[in-house]
Amino acid sequence: MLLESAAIMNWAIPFAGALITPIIGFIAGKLKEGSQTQKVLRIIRNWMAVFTSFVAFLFTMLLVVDVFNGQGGEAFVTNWFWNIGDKPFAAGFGVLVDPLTVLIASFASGIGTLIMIYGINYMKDDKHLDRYWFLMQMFIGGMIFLVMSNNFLQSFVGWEIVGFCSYALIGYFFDKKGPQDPKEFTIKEETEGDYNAHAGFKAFITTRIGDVMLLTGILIIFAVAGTFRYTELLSDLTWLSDLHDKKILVLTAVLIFGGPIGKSAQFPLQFWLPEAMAGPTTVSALIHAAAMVKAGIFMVVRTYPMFYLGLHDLHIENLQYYFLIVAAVGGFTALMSATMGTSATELKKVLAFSTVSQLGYMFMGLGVGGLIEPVGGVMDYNGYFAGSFHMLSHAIFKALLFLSAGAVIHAVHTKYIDEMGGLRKDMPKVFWPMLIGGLSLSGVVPLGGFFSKESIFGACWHLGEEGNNAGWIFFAVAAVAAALTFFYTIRFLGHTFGGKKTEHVEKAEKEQGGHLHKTSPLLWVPLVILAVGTIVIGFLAPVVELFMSKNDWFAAATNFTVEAFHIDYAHFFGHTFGFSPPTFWITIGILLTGCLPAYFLFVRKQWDTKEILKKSKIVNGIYTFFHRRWYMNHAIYWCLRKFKVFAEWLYENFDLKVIDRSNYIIASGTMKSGEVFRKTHTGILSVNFLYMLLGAIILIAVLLFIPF
Amino acid sequence: MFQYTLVIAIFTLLISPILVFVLGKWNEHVAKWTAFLAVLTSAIFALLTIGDVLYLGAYTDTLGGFTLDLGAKALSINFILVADSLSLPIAGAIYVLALAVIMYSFGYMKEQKNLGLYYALLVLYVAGMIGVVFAGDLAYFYVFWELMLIPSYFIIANWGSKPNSVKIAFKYFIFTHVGAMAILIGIGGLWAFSDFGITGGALTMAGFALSSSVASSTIRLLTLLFIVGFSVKMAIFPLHTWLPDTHGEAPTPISAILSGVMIQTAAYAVLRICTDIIGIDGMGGWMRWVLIGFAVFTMIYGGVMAIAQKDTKRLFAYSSISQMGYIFFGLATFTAYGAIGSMFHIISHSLAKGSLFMVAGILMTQVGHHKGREIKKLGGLGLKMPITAIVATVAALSLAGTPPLAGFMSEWIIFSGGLAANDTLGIIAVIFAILSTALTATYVLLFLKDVFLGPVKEEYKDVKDPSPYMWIPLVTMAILSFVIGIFPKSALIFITNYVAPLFTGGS
Amino acid sequence: MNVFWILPIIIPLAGAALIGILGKIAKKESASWNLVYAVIANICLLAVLGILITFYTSLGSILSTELSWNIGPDVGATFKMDHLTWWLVLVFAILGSVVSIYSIKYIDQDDRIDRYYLLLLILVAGMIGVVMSGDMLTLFIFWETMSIASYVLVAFRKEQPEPIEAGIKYLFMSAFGSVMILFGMSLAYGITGTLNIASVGTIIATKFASGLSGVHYIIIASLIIGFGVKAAIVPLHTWLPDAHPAAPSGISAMLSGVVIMTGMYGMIYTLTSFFRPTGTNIGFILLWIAVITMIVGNLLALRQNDLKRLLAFSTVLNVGFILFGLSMALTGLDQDVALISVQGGWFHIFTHALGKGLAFLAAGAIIYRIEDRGLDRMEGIGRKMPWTITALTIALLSLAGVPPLPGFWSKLNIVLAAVSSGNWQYYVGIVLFLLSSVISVVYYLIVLQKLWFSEPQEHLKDVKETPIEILIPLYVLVIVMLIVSIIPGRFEILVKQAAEVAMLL
Repeated sequence: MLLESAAIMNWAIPFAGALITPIIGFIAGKLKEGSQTQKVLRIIRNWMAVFTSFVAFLFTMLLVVDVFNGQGGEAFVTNWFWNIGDKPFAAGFGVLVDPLTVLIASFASGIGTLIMIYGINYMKDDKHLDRYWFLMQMFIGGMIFLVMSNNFLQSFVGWEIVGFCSYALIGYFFDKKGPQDPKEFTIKEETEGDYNAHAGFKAFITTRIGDVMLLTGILIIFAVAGTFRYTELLSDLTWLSDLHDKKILVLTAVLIFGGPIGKSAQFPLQFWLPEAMAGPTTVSALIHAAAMVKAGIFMVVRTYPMFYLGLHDLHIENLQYYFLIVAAVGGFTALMSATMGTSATELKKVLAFSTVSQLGYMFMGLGVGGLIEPVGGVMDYNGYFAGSFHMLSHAIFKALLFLSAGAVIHAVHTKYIDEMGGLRKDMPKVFWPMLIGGLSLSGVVPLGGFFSKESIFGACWHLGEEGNNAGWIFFAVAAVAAALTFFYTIRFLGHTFGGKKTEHVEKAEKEQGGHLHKTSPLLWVPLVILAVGTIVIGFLAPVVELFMSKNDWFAAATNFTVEAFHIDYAHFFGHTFGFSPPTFWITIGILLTGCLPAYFLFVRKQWDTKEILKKSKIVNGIYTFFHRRWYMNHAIYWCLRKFKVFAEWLYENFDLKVIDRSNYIIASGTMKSGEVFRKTHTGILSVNFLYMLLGAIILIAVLLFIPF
Repeated sequence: MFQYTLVIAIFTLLISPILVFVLGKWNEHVAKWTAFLAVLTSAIFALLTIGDVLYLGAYTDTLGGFTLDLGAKALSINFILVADSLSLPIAGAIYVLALAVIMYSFGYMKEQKNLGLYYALLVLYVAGMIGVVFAGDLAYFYVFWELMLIPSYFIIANWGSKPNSVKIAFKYFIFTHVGAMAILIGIGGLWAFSDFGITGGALTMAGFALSSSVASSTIRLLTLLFIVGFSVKMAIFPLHTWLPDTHGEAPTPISAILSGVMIQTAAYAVLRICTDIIGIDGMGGWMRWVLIGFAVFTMIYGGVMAIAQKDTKRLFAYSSISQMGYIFFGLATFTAYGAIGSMFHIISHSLAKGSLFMVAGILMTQVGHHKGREIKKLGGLGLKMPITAIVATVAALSLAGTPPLAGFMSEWIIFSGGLAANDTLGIIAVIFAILSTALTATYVLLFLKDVFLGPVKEEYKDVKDPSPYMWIPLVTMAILSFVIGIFPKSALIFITNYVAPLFTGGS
Repeated sequence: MNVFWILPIIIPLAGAALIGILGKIAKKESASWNLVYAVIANICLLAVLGILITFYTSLGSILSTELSWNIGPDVGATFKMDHLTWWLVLVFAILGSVVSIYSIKYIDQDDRIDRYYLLLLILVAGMIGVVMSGDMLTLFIFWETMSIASYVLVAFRKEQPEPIEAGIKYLFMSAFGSVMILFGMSLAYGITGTLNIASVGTIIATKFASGLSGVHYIIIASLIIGFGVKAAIVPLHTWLPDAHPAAPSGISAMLSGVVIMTGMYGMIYTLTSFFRPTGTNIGFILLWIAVITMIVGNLLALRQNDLKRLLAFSTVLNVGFILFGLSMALTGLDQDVALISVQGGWFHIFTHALGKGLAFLAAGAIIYRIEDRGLDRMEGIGRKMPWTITALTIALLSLAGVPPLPGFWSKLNIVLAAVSSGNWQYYVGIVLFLLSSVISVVYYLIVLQKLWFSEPQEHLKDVKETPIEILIPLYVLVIVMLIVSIIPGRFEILVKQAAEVAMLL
């Protein structure tokens, strides 16, 4: 009972808060401007958001306890639709409590709470906070709703709520710059972040392409299996064979993966995420860390067991292509975005690229894991766990990074890392957490990022050892991307905090009265909490692992057991988990490769980077290529412009000139023939008689000579 | 439970226009409220049948009839009104939109002349649509079908935007009339090939039976006639060109009704007549694929055309074409899911598209009659007219199939209808169909972006939300869109009960 | 001999005589005298209606009488009163009565009003005589009576050149038609030896059981051409666009509404009576003539600017519709289906008479006010005379076949028959039929939108609503139309009985 209600409450309460927000805001708006009651109401409104997310977090914690106790499963299943005759419209409305859902719900609500607290100070000058708080709570509620759902359709509902909220939040400052011709910012790449309305639009439409694929996939499965429910789909896998017989199994799987590609910004739909930081920083943090992009990972993890069993239990060999595609897309994105990260000029944009890259890691882990053969009827959990765990640790450190970046930008009023510098002394409460976050992002021992990334390396290595050469390739990709990650991390940290103060910073100091404003506790306390989390989560890996193994419904639904998990701490460093000595040393080597040049370039400032760019054509070329995001953004916009031109051409030349015109031609043709025909009616009596006689003769001829 | 409630509902609508017109000569305010109350009264009476519909399946009113003695045969025409689990929800959608539009007209039309006549014709127009939906007899169906046309023609010609309105109304009349002629032959064919032993020459929909000796090719031809006839109204490519013109030039409340419910009555009729009465012989086999082809093409074509538009009302008009593609697609799949989804989509589309047209109308009244239509000239109005912006967003998202709004709930059911046929061709069709929701999202969001987002222009500094008469209906419809999206059962409980039995025997 | 049976002919003739005498007595033109003439004419026509009602109760079987002069069988004049005759006389009487009321005000500025009413009554009497005749000679006599009255009425306004020209044209062409009728009838008499129309049929059927030969086809052709001139089938219609607009509007209504239909009646009645017993299928030729007639009528009407001329061409179209329905009587298709079709044809005569009559009368009302027939001169007049234009709108919508107006029911009837026929020629025909119907809607709408939706022109500024005396007959017709709209079934029964007669059942 508690379980059910907690699993509903943890999304229902943010939703309720979201609905109350505009009401309070409306009442406050009606009051006298500046009155005491109005202020109090507005404070209530703001803190209510913190409160609702925190309550959601508490309920999720109850579920954590439940899951640890081995409880879980589906609850509160009601028919949402209506039966078609005897056949149930099997789209129930229910919740599913299992480790995966609770894991995501806990960090969504937990990190969400911190972001809310942060936002109270960060957004305090804004005039349209009703909208802000409504959307933020809706966002968190939607995310939890999405993961807690027990079926595809309900998840899709949450999926789109999250999508819409991100659209509205990215475009929150929609009146900043006009929605002009996108041509302008394909040329001036840097300023794209200011076109908030456009950025939100781009995010929504791009993810919508993924959603289309996801929905198609879901509906294909529904058409064959007759249900949307995860547990039913998993317990009876005949739908996989049915789809395989129709030769559309891989297609369906890839269609399902299409949703995550869009939502989690993977190649080829990755281009929306860097613009998504156009919104307030809190929103970026929420999108990049806790919600939105994690939905994609969730969907792949959710369907992972189904396809894994199809591949290894039902021996549908074709499914390995699915996992290969997942891994390849992830690996390629990880690498590509990392290169883009090395050349980005805006602080938040670097972080955005790093998000894309890290998400690529997660997919790579999941894809690789799916290829690993089970041993003795025991499913291999390396990839599954690696992907999920990296999602958790990434959530924490990425939230940390974004919030600290927000604090920096807030203080110095610029978003370009070139214009920052020397802030280490002035903003220690931001510097240290951000450093921890950055190091975790790069995978430095013993922070959370290290463990989670390491587990992905391990999975790749494991696959390679199993004799699948793809494993080695993925391992190499992961390694190069990791080196690049450390490179750009050091780069932005060095630019921001290291070196001397730039002119811009000094100007900002002058404006704020000699020195930068003190960072408010509402800003730095969440940072510290997150920094602690980043440190701790690495050591909690075994606990998380234990938690993830409590997948009762999963175990019950399959022949596979999940006892391959070893809680044993000593074993944790052993081979099973993938943290084997060779990978460990290789990792260290990689990190040094990435770190050292960056350290000399950006922290010690041994060489002037601008000089290098000016002198070396090759470096400059590479830099521009990366900076322009491999020209993919250009290509997309080119296509879109052409599409619009094509649509207009089609409208002008086909719809108006052919279809519509043909109607008019028929009409005017009739009219014309009427006009012409009318001339034959001269009204001259003799002519009339002529017609008459002609008609009479023809009639007689017909009657006499044509047999009928 | 009751008797003659539907008769009262219809006759209220048929007779009150006279009253409205006469009162309009004296006081236009009284006239407009009379019109509103007449439709409301009618709606309440129609709603009284809900108990019978839920528990008995259908509610029937028979108000006598007459027989045309035709040679040895007879054509019995009975004034039968049926509220069943299909017609009631559709009629509900019509009533909601009609009430919304009448109230909206209070604000929108207040500058115009001759309002008594306008409201009288509007109520008569509603009577036509309600009659089409409730008609239990094909002959009366046709009578009401044409009744829809006449008042709308006069309204468009007289109160449409000058100077094109007369020409456009003319086009509208001729197109729909050509369609109606095809339907007329179809109805004649149904009568000619009916089993007179069972029907006794009656065209009553319930219990209609075709003679067993009719060749299946003849039946297919009949279905085709109906479908071509209804396609004109549904604006299926390539019979669509009347729609953008008409919707563009009609006075905005009428555009809302045209797009929101009138063109969908054709979809309703396809289900009623082609699927229910004629059945699998008409729409099965290869014919289904041809129809699906046209449906899919229409939805994508409408979407692409919508992207190319620079005028709000024409944009929504093309969007309607695209949406009718969905509805037609659901029907053409000839599966229970598809049909249910289509009928559901009628409801959700009426809420969304009705709202969007009214939003376009608000822009025209608040910004300027010509400026308010040109998308490129607008921008940044979101902060100036928040209510309108929010309502527009809800409607746009519902149209784009965003859960949990009503539009999504109906769309996914349509799509699973396409997949329920279980073949590769169906999957390809559905992929295209779902792809066009991305197209939909693109053009509605572009509209929102260009109109409501961005910096506020200097010239729009003083733009405000319109009078409550104009936004109350919109807000109501937005809320309904939410409620139906969150509780789809509320509509499906009816629709499914009607549709599901149609398919239990066949595919 | 029962004189009562031929009272419908005698009463109008008597009325005409009375008016003639009164006209001589009165000498002077005055409004009160006009009223007297009109009242007399109206009383006569209402009396005919009353007699019809008494007839209906006794119309169990065909009533017929023979005015013989004791020379021998089949020699005297034969009159009949069957359901078909009854039905047509009803139509004539209703329209005639309405027109006579309408004319009170409409022609009050003219001279020779007594002669107008006199001719009107003779016209009606002639038409009634045509449909009541049971033998060829009587038919021809009344045919000529009717024709001559109509020639004079067309040229009634003899001061103007146009009516005179139109009347002469009408006279010449009609005369040609009459000759052809006479020729055909002579041949028929020659091969059968009898004048009685019913007997001709039975004799041909028995005498020429092996099949029709050349002479029969000559008879068929002469009858089609002869009656076809009056019925204005293409290409014999060329007199019509001149004659109908030129006549005073009341007479236009009569000509277009009913006089034309006597031609249709004559053609179908003689052809079916003579040749249906032989099982001929010349109906298909009539079908295609009908289709051509529709198309040509439409094409001519499309670009008309003269409102009355437009309506006249629309009459050509409707002649096509009616012939389409009636043609099936002679096709040898399933008798039940053919009956439906013929029923549709006779019904359409009625609904067209109502619609076209009303349209001409309303057009006349406009012309009465602005003295111009050009549509472009009438733009926006709807604002000035809404009641008149509303009546015109109803008339045109009925002609367009918009339900539930009368025109819809008769078209529906024909559609049902054609769809039931199971014959490809009728399938193709019905598609063309409905397409023509759509095209006709085009020019009806052009009229309506010109009248309703334009701003009133400068010269229309002072135009007032039509006088009430003219509005009343208009709305009498409107009411009749609404009655038909609501209870078409009642009228279908009457038409069915008429059609059964026409099908010789």
